[in-house]
Amino acid sequence: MEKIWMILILAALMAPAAGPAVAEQPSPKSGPQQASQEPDLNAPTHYAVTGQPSYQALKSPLKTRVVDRRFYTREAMYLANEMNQSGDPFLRQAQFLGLPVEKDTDFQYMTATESYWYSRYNMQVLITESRLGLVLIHGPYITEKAVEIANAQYNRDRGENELSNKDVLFEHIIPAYLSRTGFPRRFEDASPLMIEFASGDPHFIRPVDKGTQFELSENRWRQRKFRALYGDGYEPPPTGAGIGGNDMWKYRVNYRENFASLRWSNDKMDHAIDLGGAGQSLMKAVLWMEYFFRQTHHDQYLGNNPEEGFRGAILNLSSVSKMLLLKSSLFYDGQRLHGLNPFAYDPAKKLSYFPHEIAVKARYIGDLPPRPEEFKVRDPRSLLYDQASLLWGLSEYFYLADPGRDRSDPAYREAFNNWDKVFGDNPPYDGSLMERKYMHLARGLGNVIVRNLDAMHRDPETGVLVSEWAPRKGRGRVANVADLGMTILGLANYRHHLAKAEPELAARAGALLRAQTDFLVERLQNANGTFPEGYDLAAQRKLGDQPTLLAQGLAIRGLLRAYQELGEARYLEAAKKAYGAMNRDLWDSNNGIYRSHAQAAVSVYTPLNLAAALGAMREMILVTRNADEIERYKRFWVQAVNSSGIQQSEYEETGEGDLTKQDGDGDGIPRMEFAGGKYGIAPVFAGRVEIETPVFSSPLAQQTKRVKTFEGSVQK
Amino acid sequence: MHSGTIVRGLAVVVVGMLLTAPSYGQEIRLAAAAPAAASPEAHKLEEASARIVELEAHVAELKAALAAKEKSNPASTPAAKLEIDYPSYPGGETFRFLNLGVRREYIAAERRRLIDQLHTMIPPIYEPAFSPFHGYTLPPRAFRVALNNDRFINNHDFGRDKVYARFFDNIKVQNQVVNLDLSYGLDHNDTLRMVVPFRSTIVSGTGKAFRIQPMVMTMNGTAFGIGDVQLLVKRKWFDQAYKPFNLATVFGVQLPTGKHDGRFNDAQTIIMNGMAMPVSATAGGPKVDLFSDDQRIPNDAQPGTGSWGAIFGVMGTRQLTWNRLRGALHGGLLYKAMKNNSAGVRPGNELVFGVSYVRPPLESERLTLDFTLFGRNKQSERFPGLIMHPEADANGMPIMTPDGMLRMFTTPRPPFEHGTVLFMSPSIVIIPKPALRLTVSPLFRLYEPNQGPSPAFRLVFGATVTF
Repeated sequence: MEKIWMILILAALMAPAAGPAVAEQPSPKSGPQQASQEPDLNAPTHYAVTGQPSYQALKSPLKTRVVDRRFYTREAMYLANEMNQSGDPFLRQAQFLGLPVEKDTDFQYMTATESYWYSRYNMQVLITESRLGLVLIHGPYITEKAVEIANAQYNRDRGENELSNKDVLFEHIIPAYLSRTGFPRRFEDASPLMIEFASGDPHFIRPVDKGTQFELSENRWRQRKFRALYGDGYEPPPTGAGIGGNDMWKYRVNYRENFASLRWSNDKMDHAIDLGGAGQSLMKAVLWMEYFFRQTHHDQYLGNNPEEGFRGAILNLSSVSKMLLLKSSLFYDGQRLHGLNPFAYDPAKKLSYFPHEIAVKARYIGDLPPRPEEFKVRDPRSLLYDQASLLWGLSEYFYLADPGRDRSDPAYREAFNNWDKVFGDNPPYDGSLMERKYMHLARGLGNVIVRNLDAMHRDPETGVLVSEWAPRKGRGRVANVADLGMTILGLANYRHHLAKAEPELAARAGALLRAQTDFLVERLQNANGTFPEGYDLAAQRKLGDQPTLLAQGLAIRGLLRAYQELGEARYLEAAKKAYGAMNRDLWDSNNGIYRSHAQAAVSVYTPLNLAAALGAMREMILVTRNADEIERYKRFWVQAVNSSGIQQSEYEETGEGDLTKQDGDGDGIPRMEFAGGKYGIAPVFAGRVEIETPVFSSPLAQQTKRVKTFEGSVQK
Repeated sequence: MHSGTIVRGLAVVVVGMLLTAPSYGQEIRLAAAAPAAASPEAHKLEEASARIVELEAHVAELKAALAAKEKSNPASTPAAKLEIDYPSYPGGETFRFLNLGVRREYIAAERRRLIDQLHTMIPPIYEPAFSPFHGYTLPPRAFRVALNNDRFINNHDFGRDKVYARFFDNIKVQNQVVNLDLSYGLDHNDTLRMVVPFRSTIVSGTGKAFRIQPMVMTMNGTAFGIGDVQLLVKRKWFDQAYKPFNLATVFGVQLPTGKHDGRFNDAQTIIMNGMAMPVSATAGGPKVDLFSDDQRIPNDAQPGTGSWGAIFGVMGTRQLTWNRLRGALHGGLLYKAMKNNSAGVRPGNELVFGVSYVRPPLESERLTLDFTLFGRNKQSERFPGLIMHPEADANGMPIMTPDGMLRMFTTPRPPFEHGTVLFMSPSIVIIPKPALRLTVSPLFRLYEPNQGPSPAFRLVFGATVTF
């Protein structure tokens, strides 16, 4: 009896014990086929890479030219989002699913290093270095704080009692973030954005500061003051690179701490807000926060490490500022921009929506970030891509902040607990970084978008969402496949994450999701598996002569996401059929890339269609566990990403540790200061790349031994 | 190592022991029932059961510690223990942010907050020291008070040209002008400005009252008083935040508020052949009536003109913040069209122009340098009426009539020529506090008009407060 009793006690003790903090396990979005499997919580990520692989077996000569180096936010951020998912999450999931990647150093490097860092370069360059947008210091969150804090000082001085936003950010908010994340240093001349402009020129406008003796001006000021206070009794710490910074930092060079030399040209920016770009960049920020806050460090600090914790905190501030700006100033009713309480919104009474583009007039104050003074609608249309992007980002923010989120995935339990520590009711006093109440802001704005999709974009006859709605004209007549794919991502995310908070609207989102997916499968997919570019509802005909990579990629991506969310096998079958068709009709095995459209002798790659392709390939590999497709993926990565020029430059984390060499790791992507122009180009995505993909008469001539044609079968 | 791992590890050990060994408890009881026998097996059993008891106690401790940790860290408790609320209509003070921008335009309210932050806001350190030619406007509801003192001496103000040389020798004009400059930001694009000058002029020197040799008369005079008030509105049309540069225009009026009755002194001294003789114009002595019958000094030396004027200007700024030339380039021009005054004097239209490069030499925001080229082109002043001149012979001696009187002739009053003058000014701007600027601007003449007065040197001090 005693033996049985002991066993029972011990079994009871074993049951609730959480596993060690595992950095990455399959995403809760992995799909119903994985929900029943118990992950190995103790399995570390197998990462055997010791340096930049040569990829010799995957490379082949590629004739490519970058025809537009401009950075377009709406496209680049979507690519960054897909690369984020194709980074560490992809590697982890592939390992977890038993795909043969444990010894595949090429795959490991291109996912966990290159994909991760290209995505992260684009985010941090845009959001903290470029000044391509409105800086969060002028945002509503900080304004509210300034008013809130200032009230406490009334009548205690001569009346100068309202803090400037600068005071609030530098004296209250950032010190709290530094303390809570354990980050010992402060970046200088950073300009974290709350909302991004539509596009900009990523050429640097002054030499990149590669010195090593940088010291924060506030430290120098502080040292002067301490000397005045202590006299000879004060010994200042060593300056420059000698100061102990983040113990995780490997490279100490000035531009990594002082971003003044990384600024983009204000003259060459398009000073307009693209709402699709806003949505994609919100999603970007949230995905990175989910990663940065997965763990705590040194037993008490938030973030995987000090720098990531601090960056995550700033991303959170940026995201909340963006949402508040959207809510307070960027709704349009056809006549003027205005603010809206999303919980009081009824489109049947008065329509308010996010227009496509909003011009910004600001005041340029020398070295300070320009201060917005006026917004004006430049393009009043409601575009489906924009609404879907915003919905995607807003619902993901809600998921991050909601303590009532679906916690069924045990592999993420520790991450969920750590995410919950980021949010609180009374930051910073309760140890949190951001007020949890702003999750309702995300929720409310998401609700508005779902209602507007229904009211503005939905065709009552077919239930499909059209790509465009314009004032006075109303609903457009075209439904683009790419837009539908993006919309499915947004709707699925909303349905999944807000099911508890908004049951009715989540159900409505689910109905819309099903309608779009059914439309794709039943009305759009051709017999040979391909998808057209779109559908003209008025003429009742499909659009586009040749299948395009963009349409195929996003259709597949959407179908797989719908399958994960709704569990309908026919969506998976349709996706597999489409993927087979994509490989059959678009894959150029000589060059190891997809043609941008069938029979294209010159393929045009933009961040959008590249993202669509990567997302489709990744999700298909994870669903089908087809190891051959991993080989295709690797080949595609090396050719279309590394060799095409679309990633315009890089720096230390992806192999350019020698600051003097143009391309020290020989991967074809130069160090940023050698990437072109007088001073170099920031490590971001180009707008457009052309790659020669000559079409041979005999299809057999295109077959290589390296990659088998995917025929849609599931390998078990 | 996580406590859960420890627990599982111990559990594995204990279970292993339990599974690999017979029931220790049972054997202990059997052993207890039997008479004690001091055997090695019994000893081992005793040790094992003591070890089990130890492990049980340790497991219990760990379990208690785990429970305490879960309890003390609410964030780590399962979600069911957190209070999660999804109000269908979040309201109250907590959710006041949901009404931001609903009843009042947020961005407009935010613009108005700028005035409250002025004392901590870094002002444009790229603003020129004294030149008005830049594209900046004040933030809405901001006040600015500026005072500057311009001191200049024209050592040969009158008499440089052929006509005036007959009337004047070296005439020195000392000027001190204090301008009170008040500005107010009407909105984010428009600034209202009022300039109130105060001027003191001292004229000294000699001339030829009768335009004949060798008679020389002192020609001293003064003028003091308020000048012509200017009312201006400056409008910024676009900003470098979204265009390549700031561009602004100025429209305004000059009001005839200034005093313009400064005169040559009634009492002068005639010097002839070494003898000095005091004279008085009112007592019938010679008058300095070149500019008016009542001995007024030239219009340009008066505090005011007595004339209405219309002002129009255009100016711009390009900030160079992100390259090695960190600073700002400014430029502009201002045209003043003047009406004749009530006395029929035409003051002469003016065109003022300037180009500046402002550069902070240090990272500090407390000091900046300004290099300005500043100039003026002024039409000649014209005076109504006629003046009489004695006819002179080739030696400059008067020609007498048979009855002993001077032979006179009359001419219109000659215009007072001006022309173009150009100055260069290196200035220092000291900004001890964000809203306070102190400026020192010496101006060196680079180009003087062929005719007309121009000082070789000017010195301008200024102070500006914004609140």
